[in-house]
Amino acid sequence: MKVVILAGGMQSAISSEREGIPKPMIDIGGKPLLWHIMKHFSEYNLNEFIICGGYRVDMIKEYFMDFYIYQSDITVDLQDNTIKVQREKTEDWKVTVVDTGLYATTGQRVSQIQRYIEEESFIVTYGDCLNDIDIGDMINVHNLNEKIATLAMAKPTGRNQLMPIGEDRQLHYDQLNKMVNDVSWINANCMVFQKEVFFYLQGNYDLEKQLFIKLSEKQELATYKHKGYWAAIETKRDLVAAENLWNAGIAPWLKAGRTD
Amino acid sequence: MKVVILAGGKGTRISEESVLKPKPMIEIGGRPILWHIMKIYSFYGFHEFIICCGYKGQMIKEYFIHYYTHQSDSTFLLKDKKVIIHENRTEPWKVTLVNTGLDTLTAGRILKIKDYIEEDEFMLTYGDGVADANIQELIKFHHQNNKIVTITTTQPMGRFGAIKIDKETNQVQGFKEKARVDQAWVNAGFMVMNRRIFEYLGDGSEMLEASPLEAVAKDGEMTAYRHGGFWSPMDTLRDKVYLEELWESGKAPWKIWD
Repeated sequence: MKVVILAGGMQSAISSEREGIPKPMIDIGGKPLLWHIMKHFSEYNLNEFIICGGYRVDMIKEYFMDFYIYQSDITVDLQDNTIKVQREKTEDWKVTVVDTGLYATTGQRVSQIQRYIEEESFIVTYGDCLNDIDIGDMINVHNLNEKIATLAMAKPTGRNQLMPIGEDRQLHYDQLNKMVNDVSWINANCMVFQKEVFFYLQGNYDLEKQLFIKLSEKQELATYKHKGYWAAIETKRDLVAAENLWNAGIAPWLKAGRTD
Repeated sequence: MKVVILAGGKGTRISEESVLKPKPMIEIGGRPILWHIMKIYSFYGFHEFIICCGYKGQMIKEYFIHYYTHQSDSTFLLKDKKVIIHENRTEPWKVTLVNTGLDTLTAGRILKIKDYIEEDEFMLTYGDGVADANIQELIKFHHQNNKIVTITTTQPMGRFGAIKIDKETNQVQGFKEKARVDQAWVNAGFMVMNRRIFEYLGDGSEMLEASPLEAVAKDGEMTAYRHGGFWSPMDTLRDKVYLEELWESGKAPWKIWD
C-alpha cells in the first residue's frame, strides 16, 4: 500500500528557521521531519511513498537524490572529483516526489497523484504531524468497515490537552481517562482511502470542509480512534518538544527509538 | 599520515552566523576556517583528511561534493547531463566525511573514525583554530619523543595590555602591549597520535581532554610541543573579526601557502 504525504504547504512559521525551508524538511535530530514520518510507516512495512510537494519542492527532491550521501560516510577525491560511499546506509524506500503546485489545496494535491495509485487503497497523511498510530491496526479497521475512507482521530495533547471537568466545574485528574475518553476527538490528519475517493474529490477540493462532509453524507467515512501519541509540529515549542523526545531516545513515533 | 579534524560541535558562541552553519564552516575571507586548516596541513604534504561531522554535517558534505565544480569555470551540457570543467583549480585532497553523531563527545567521535585509520600514526586537530604550526617540526618532535600523544601548546596573546605603575607615586612608567609571556600554556590542537590512543578512549562517552588524555599523561605517554608562533581559536565573534582583519590585511600568519 502506498503512502501519500502532503508536503506542499508554505514555509514553516517556526521562527528561528530563516532558511526558507518547507515545513516537512525541518530538522529534528539531524534528519528532516519527513524522514521521521516515513520511518514510522516503514516500521509497518510500508516503503512506497508519494510526496506531494509544492513550496521548495526542489529541496525535497535534492534530499532524496542525495539520500545515500546524506546517510553514509563519504570520501570525496577533490583531484578527480569522485565520491566514494563508505559504510553505506540507506533505506529500502521507493519515493516519488510530485510537484503539486504552490497554492493547491490538500484535495487538489491528492487528485494530482491519482496516476501513481494502482492499488485499491492508499494512505494519505500530513507532512507536519508525528504520531505512533498503529498503522497495521488502522488498515485492518479500514478493511473491516468497508467504507471509502477511514479517518484517524486523536486526543489533543500537550498544551491543548483535554481537561477533566466534572459537573461541579472542578478538575478531576483521577478520572481523566474516563471523562475524556469518548468526547472531543480531533482529526489526526492520517487516513486510509479507497481508490473511489478520486471520484468524490472532483469539485470537493478541501478534505476537511468538503470531502469528509460529502463522504459522511453517503455514510462512507469511518473513524479510527488513536489513543496514543499525536503531535502537530506547528510552532517552535512543538519542535523543541519533539526534539527533546528524540534526543532522550524515547521518540514515541518510532518503535526502534533513536537511530543515529 | 592522515589528518583527523573535529568538526561536529555546535558552535553556539558565534551566534548569528553559526545558527545557520556548523562552526568549521564559518568563513574567513570567503573560505570556511576548515579550509584554512586543511591548507596548513596540505602545505606540508598531508592531503588525506577525515572530518568528524556532527551538527549540520550535511553542509560540510555538500561543501566538498561541490568543491570541484565551484572552484573552476564550468560548462553544463544539460541535455547530456554532463559538466565540463575548465582550468581545474581544485586541491589534491582526499576528504572522508564521517557522521559521528549530534551530541557525541570528542573521544566518541575519534572512536567512530577508527576504521579509517590504517597507519600507526595520525594527526588530530580542532576545526576552529588556525596557527602557523610547523607540522614537519611537530612530527619530528613526536618521533624523537616516541610517546603516544604529542600536543601542541602555546601561550595565547593577552587580551589586555599591561601597565607598569610606580608603587609610590602611582605614575605610569610604561606599557607592555598584550603580554604574551605571562600567559599560561594552552592546548592549541595540532596533535600527533599513535593509534594506541584508541585503547584510552573507553566507550567514547567523554571529552578527549578529560580522562582519556589525563590517563595518557599519567602513563608518561604525552609530550608538549611548544609553539611560539601564531595561534588563534575562533570561539567568539570577536575572534572572527580579528581573523578576518588579518586575512584582509594580507598578513594572515597562518597563510603559509602561496
